Amino acid sequence: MPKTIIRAIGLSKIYRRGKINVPALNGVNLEVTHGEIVGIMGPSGSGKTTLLNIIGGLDKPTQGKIFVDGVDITLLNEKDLADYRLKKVGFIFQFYNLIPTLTAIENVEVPMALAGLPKNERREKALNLLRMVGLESRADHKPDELSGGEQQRVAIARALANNPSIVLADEPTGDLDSKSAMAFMKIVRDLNKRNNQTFIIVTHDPLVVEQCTRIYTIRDGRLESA
Amino acid sequence: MFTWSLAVRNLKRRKLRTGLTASGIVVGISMMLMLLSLVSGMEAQTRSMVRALGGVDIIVSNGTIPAREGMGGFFGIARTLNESLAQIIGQIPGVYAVSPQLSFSGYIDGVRTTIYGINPNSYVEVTGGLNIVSGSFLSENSKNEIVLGRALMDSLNLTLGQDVTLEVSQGERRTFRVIGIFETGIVFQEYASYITLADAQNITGQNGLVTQILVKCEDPSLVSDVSSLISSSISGVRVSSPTTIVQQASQMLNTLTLFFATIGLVALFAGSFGIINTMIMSVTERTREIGILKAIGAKNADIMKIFLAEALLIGLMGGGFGVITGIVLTYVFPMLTSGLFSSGISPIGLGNPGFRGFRGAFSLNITPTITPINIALCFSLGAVVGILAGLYPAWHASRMKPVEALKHA
Repeated sequence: MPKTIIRAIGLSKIYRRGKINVPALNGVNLEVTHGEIVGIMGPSGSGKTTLLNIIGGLDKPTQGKIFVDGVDITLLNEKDLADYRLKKVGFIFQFYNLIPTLTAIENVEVPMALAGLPKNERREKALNLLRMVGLESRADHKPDELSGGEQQRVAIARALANNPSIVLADEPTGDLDSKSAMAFMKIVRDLNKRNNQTFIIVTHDPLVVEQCTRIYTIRDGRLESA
Repeated sequence: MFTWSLAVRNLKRRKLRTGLTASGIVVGISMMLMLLSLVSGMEAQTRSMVRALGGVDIIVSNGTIPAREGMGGFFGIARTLNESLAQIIGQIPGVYAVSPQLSFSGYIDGVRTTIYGINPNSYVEVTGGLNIVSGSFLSENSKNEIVLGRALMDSLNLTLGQDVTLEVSQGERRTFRVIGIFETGIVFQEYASYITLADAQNITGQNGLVTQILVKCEDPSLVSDVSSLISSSISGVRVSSPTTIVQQASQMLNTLTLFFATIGLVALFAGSFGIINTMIMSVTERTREIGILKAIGAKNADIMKIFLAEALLIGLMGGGFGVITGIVLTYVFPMLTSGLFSSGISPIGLGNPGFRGFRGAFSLNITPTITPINIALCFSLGAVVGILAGLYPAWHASRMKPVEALKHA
């Protein structure tokens, strides 16, 4: 029996722009089970990223609850939320968001360092992760010495650093050529099979969509099964 | 954590900016080190001055304007007082002890020196005595015995118990036996020698006369009252008090210290604004990085540490280079100001022959003393300024909302 990992109930998010209230999410309900690869599609400004940020503990909903492994993360304080982001979720962004002054392997080590892992242990683990994404030989390169596809693979390795049960990706292939995008999705599939990790991917990319186990479309702040 | 490598790499990325920011601190720290070294030097100097003055509270000498006769060039004896004045002064309320002294210039085995004729018992009572390192001091029964300073002994290559020839202005020569050696730590003072007052009066022909009467009061607080009593009750005398002079001198040094401390602090203060400014720029530039770090699980405290480390490093750099610059300046400074110190202090009654022996101490330039404690103090001052200046920018960085920080280009 597959276990529910994420359950969102009646999520709303209203941004205030000057005097106008802009609703980004409007009563979103979502249930994700362990090991799913969920794709979320929708036009820009439809609230995809807002939903992802709320699931990832980066943002709080105006209304509604969201349970992750049975814990309502909307009730967590700032510190516990940081801890949740550190251990429970991994983020992958469209523009990779690696730290420019650190090498590939150091970027992968950062979350482990934040979690207090000793240096030699995290070195080894980071190297394994880079091997897994096929970038072992580029470990000591800075982000600006890597191609977009390579940077995104480093970002995957970083997202997986603390063995999160959920990986959130915001348009991960949006800036990649189709070859890199396919390579990216292959890694996602492999990880999903091997570690039973749950992926939620916001995307427009058909290449990504066809690999997802379930697809949602978001429109005017409402989630619809596609 | 990557706190330090992130801090170091970000500083390296903006070398010029980092360097300029640190220079702001360098100015302040080097000023501070120079100041502290100067103060240490002054303290040592003042201590030795006080030591050299012994317990003498007041020096009474002849206050009439000297006539141009009979001063005898180099072999001079200052205007004299009647020895019996000592007894009169001794009766003045508040006076604890008096000691008459006849000082004059002469040659010992061809080396010029100041000779003090003193009454051993009252001299010890008033001044606390000399620091005899070898042999003994004069006694009331001493005759043709002399106590010399270490420096004079060394330059004459003498040993204890040897005889020396003392020559004074009138061409009088007398043989004295060296019975004791004293040290003061100040070379100039160690070129003096001591004989009994009787011997001194005898050799100079100034029977019953003295050049100074040294006075010790019952309490240091009585010095100014007793001084004015002496000058009002005895005409033609000049009264001066070494402790007042030391006080005046150290007061002047304090003013100087305060002056430098103010400049140093103002410079540090200005420098700290440089750090604040640079750190705020750094935080703004790296808003996105802060967002990334927060998204992958960094806590506010982690972000705070990263930026504090950066500010601390700037402070340490400023402290380090500041100490080096300060050491250099400390050596250069006395050369630039040698005039200031010697002319600054000398107007305070040093014309008095009673101070002949002390003049060395007063007219010496202040020699700054660089101590390890001062260096450590200045270095850590740099660190403290860095941390303090980094507090606000780091706090500002730590409080950023991750979602908004990530939107930053």
